[in-house]
Amino acid sequence: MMKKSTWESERQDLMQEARVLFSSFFAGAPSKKILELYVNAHLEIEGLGKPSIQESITIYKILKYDLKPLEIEPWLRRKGRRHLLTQKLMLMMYICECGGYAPQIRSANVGFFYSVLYLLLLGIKVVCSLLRGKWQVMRYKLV
Amino acid sequence: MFEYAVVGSGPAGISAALQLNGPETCLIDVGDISEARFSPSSLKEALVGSHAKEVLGDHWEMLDNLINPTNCHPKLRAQAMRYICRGEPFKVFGRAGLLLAKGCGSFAKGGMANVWGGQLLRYNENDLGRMRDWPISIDELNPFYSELERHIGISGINDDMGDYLGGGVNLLPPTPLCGTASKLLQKFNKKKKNGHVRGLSLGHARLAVLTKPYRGREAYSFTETEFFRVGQEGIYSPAQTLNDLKKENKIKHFDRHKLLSYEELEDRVILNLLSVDDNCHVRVEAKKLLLGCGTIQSTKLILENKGMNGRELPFIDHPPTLLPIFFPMYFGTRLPMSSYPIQLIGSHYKVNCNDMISFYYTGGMLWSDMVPDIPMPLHYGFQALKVLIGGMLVAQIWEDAPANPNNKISLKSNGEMEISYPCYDVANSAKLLATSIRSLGGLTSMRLASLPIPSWGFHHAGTLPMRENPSLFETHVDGRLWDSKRVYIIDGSVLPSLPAKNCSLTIMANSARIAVLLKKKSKKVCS
Repeated sequence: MMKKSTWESERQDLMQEARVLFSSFFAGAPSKKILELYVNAHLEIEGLGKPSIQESITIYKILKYDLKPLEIEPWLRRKGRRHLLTQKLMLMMYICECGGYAPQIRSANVGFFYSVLYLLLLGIKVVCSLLRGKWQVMRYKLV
Repeated sequence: MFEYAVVGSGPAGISAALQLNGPETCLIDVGDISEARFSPSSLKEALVGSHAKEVLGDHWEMLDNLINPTNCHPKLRAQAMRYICRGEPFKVFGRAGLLLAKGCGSFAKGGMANVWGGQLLRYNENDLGRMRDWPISIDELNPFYSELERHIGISGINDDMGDYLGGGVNLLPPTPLCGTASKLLQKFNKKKKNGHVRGLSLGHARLAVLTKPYRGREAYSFTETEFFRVGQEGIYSPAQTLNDLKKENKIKHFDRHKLLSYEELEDRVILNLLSVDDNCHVRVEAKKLLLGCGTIQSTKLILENKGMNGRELPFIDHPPTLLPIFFPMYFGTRLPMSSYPIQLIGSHYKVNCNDMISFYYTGGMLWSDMVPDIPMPLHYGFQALKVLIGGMLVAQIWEDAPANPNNKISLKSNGEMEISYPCYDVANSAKLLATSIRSLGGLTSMRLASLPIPSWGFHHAGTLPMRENPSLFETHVDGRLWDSKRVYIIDGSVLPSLPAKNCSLTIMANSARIAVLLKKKSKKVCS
């Protein structure tokens, strides 16, 4: 009984985590399928969900203080073994890409000038996002 | 007793079997096939529908890069592709003895050709002349090139790369190009002088991909599923030839059998086979044994047979330099959703730089594979790719790979093969390409160049090189081991060096050459 409720509580935590990570990529709520896939991956992928204490604390803080995982992640990204946050965001990315959210299935001809403008604006957004992310990393001492 | 026993159903084994087909020939292979299905008919269908688990794998196979970035070739990650590399294990060590990767050879029906890109190119006199250590002439290979091209069906066109690629008779129409590749080629054709632009020649790739029905096989449907599924109609695999030979009763096939060891006697070779399904031992006798299991696996068999644990042999790999190239004028182009990875082939051969450059379109890959390498927040990486991918090609650059005494393979006491490959580097011609492509509107930087680890591309050779006068662990020009009368090596092991061009068709042609020599010898003996 105890074990069942522990797993159920863990499952609920993972689903909540999935909702937060999904909403950092897309507007709206994730489908039941996406939530299930996210939770099942944590059961089935060896090594996922077995982080260091520091990494667990980072995830906890992101959820507790409603921080922006996508802004923080580039500062925690590393060569070699990936940070837990990178792992979870990548997992959500893969699930969404294969679950109907792949941008490549909706491509259109937008032309050179629109592309350049788009990339310039994207560049500004990237810089702002990185600055905000750095601030969050420093403010909440995320590692 | 058989006249010939051919081991391996990859390109080398099948090429020999095709020449030697008849009741006196047997073909032995483990013949693994894929147990996983990939049901979507195209990548687009896979991504829009509810096929997430088929794409990602029942055991999340596509996510083996989640915890640690993987060195695995992207074509070997999907669930339905995993069976291809379940052969003999090996380890790869780089500089300072650092372990770079663990890999396996192939026991698959059709061998590593199940995941090849299908580029089948001829060597020419210049290629062999440059390497200086090939004991055969191109005239000995040419008839087999033609025969194999006719058998397989090659798509392409006789364009500015015609000199470089040779052959070019009875080509099927070329494979469709994505927007950027098509415009790049148009620009090249407008600007070229003497067949090149600042040294770079460019043309359609020559591929074993059918663009129209050919010899009873359907044309390929260009569904961008090459990274997720094998056995697709229209992409040649030696397994297709094996199936044809079996259907016509032209060969005895010991399917699901592994060659454990062999013993060469005065008048025969005794093969000790293991039936992999029921673990029974089977004994087969043949007058001649032809080993075409792939360089690493054939070499292992020879070293084990000779009891040579620890003996180091030369090993040649052919790791390509990868260089993404951006064409800003084509940013924001609508993605085709129907394409083939290999788009164009290029070379700087007209300015005496004998490289081979394949230009790839990355449309058939998951974007999640690429985004973590872009130094920006992940969601912005996706947004950037939306605009960039249509105007991006990735160049894979190969250069000549002579034997290097520092690059070796050996059999360890635990039965595993170990490759020590400290000497490899980014292709010199990558810098040349970065300059020449600028004239065609392409932008890149050497900072973006990357070199996969040795063994990544599975172009292996040189362990038992053919020589006029072979010494220990070398082979005669007719493929025979140095000290043998009846054991022949027919795969990449015997190639003494690798010119820049893709070696697949040459491995097949050389295997056919050896098989025909064998047949002639047998006829002489009989008469």
